[in-house]
Amino acid sequence: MTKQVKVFLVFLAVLAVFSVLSFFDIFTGVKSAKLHDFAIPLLPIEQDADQDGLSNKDESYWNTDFQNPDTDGDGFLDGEEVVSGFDPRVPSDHSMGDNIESTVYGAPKNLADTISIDENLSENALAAMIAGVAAGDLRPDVNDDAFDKGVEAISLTTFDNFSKMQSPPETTYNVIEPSKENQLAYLNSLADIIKKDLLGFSQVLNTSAPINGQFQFFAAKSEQFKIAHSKITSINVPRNWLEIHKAISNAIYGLYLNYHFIGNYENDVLKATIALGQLSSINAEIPGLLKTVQAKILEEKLEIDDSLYRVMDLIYKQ
Amino acid sequence: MEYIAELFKHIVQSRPWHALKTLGFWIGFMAGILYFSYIFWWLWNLYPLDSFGLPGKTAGLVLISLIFVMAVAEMAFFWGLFGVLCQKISAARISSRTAPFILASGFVLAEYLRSFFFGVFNLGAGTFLGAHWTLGNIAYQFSDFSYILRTSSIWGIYGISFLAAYLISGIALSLIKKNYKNLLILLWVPALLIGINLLAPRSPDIRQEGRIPIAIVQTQIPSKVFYTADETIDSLTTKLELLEKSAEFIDSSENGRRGLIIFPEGSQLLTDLFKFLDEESVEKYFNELSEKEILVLDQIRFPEENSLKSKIVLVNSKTGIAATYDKKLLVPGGEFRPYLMRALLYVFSPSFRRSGFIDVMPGSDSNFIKFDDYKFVIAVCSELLSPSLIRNHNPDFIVGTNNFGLFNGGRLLERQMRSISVFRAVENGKYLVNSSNFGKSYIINPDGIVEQMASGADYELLTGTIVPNQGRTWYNYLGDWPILLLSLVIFGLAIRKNRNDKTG
Repeated sequence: MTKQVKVFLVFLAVLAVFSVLSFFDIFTGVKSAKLHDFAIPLLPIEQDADQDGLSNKDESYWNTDFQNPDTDGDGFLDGEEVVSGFDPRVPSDHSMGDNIESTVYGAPKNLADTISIDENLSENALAAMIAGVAAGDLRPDVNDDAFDKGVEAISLTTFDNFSKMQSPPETTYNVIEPSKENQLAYLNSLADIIKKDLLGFSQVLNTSAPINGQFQFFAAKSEQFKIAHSKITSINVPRNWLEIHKAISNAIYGLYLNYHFIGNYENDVLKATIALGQLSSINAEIPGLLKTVQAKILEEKLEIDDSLYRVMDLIYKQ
Repeated sequence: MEYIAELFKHIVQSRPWHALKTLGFWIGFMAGILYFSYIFWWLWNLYPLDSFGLPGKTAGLVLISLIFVMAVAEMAFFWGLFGVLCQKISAARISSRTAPFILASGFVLAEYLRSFFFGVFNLGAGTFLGAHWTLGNIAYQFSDFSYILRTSSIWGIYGISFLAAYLISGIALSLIKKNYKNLLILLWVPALLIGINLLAPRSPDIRQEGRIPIAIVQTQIPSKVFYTADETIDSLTTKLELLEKSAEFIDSSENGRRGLIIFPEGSQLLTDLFKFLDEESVEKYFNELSEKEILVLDQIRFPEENSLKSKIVLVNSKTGIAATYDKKLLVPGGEFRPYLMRALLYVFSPSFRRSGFIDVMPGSDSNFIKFDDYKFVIAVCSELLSPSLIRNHNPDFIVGTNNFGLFNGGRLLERQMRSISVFRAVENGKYLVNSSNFGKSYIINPDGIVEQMASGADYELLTGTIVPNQGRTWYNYLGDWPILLLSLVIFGLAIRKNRNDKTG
């Protein structure tokens, strides 16, 4: 008997045991757990299940409980805490100095439940589906809403895990004094990164061709943004530019990550597909970031001799 | 229809492929080779083809040589057919007064077929079939001769071709047969031209009311596969500065409550602007350009339904995108790869296949734009070659845009295109405004006079006013059909007579 046949027989035996157990369950009145029993009916990710001011999607981003309006139990709603610059996962009486600067524009801290970017979302979702089918809960032929809710729960979990992956790594920036010279030097370094990387003028994705034939493009872009992220985290940042700097740095990290995910389309289709949407979102944020930079330049009354800031002045002066 | 069917039957029965063996064919073909080598010499300005992403100068040389030879040969073929006709006429018992009419008809038909078959020879995914490719039509050589040019408002370029072929063949036959009296008879042609110029109504009077202020932004953006960030930003800065100056000009103009700003083909203003602004902010940006309502015309390459479109976008500064138009008559080799070229590339240049060249697909919507009281047609570069695309819907004026960025500064094609534009303006009796990338931008009046022209040396702003003309010329009403039908009838009668002579 060959090894393959032995494995197949063992698989059949396991299947038979589960079938027998399932058969006896019917007589003993014990039903296998339904997927929605543990998944609990969930609302679409854009809705706010616990009415705390944070959508289900945002709850996932902030690593808060989407069914508990006050995750840290300090008496303040999660949404209130985020808006006012406090960490919704750390109990606080909201006194001055308690709010954490890095959580305002940056991502939440890496918590234990932040999953690895290498986690395979397609395999996880497939495994959950198979488990549901094996348990008898994911049966589209049965006329109840268990199937829809089960699929919804799996989708939500997938989005949830994807959002957790978007958290940029904990970064320590080289913060310097906000003197005029430091600011001009910083803006010159920043211009280089914005022009060469963030604006993506050199992007030549063949948008009229199937995306699955262009992995090399995405892999190259991922590498470009990885280097750009390393550059932007190493430059000296005047203190008054820190918030804007973090936002740009996070956008570049997001571009790196999502190009990387799309480049690995063959290994994880689901992750790549969600990443495509995420990429559009990040790209849509870039004009806003640039406008913030220009507004700050005006606020600080800085005059910089660089083509980027000249064109931004022309565009945003209105 | 019966008559045409009989004509075609006769042509097939006469086994036209035997014409290739005749001396007349080869004389006509060689004359065509010389003439069209001059017409298509601009193809060498494309060398070394790095703009197309083709590495290696040898591959570029081989490819351009092949394209040049093919283009010239396919055009000269129809002159070869005309040569056969000349030989047959000289051998037949046809009077030297009638023969020039038959030859002129044959020449017009050969020219018409040539303009159609250029598309057939260059068949590809982006082909838009029709008798559009009039490049090299002999009439365009007369753009500086106003007495000849003005008659195109009656019978178009084929009418001028007819007269030119009639006159040349008439003189030639008179000299060959030493029948010098016939030369006097030929004088009816110049008499006709002079008569028409004296009697035909002039273009609309230059009025002040109803004039439209126009600002033409001329750019210098080289055609490349990749642009550096600095190149893109510098170009965008200049385009925005010129846009602001254009808006100032329209604001200060006393003509009307709105105006038109035209960017050339390849300007990609909106593509660049969307890197810095979201959709809402772009609308706000245009809205704040001027107190007046401005129509800004830009061209972008836009992915759409698994294809790429060469899209003209018209932005109304007060309401957002007013209209779009997808270019129809695409340039073989430049915008799409004809099947024949693909086969050649497959053999000669594997690297070109990997260069990321994306075929542009033709649009299907009309190029006629109606924007309140503005009614105009858009002609994107090669579309100016097509008289039928321009006379569409009787526009009040014509807006052309072109891009010579691929030609590395070469002016040969640009000069030909200007002559062609002059004809389009006169044929329809309309103002024609043209914005160019790497060429000269200009405003041509309905008489074919270039009223204003930029130097073409750099980014420039050309401003002026034009008069919309709702009147129609004969050509605008009837197109090429009268002269084509006349040619077909003369040619058909000649064939019938020849057959009757043989059978009788």
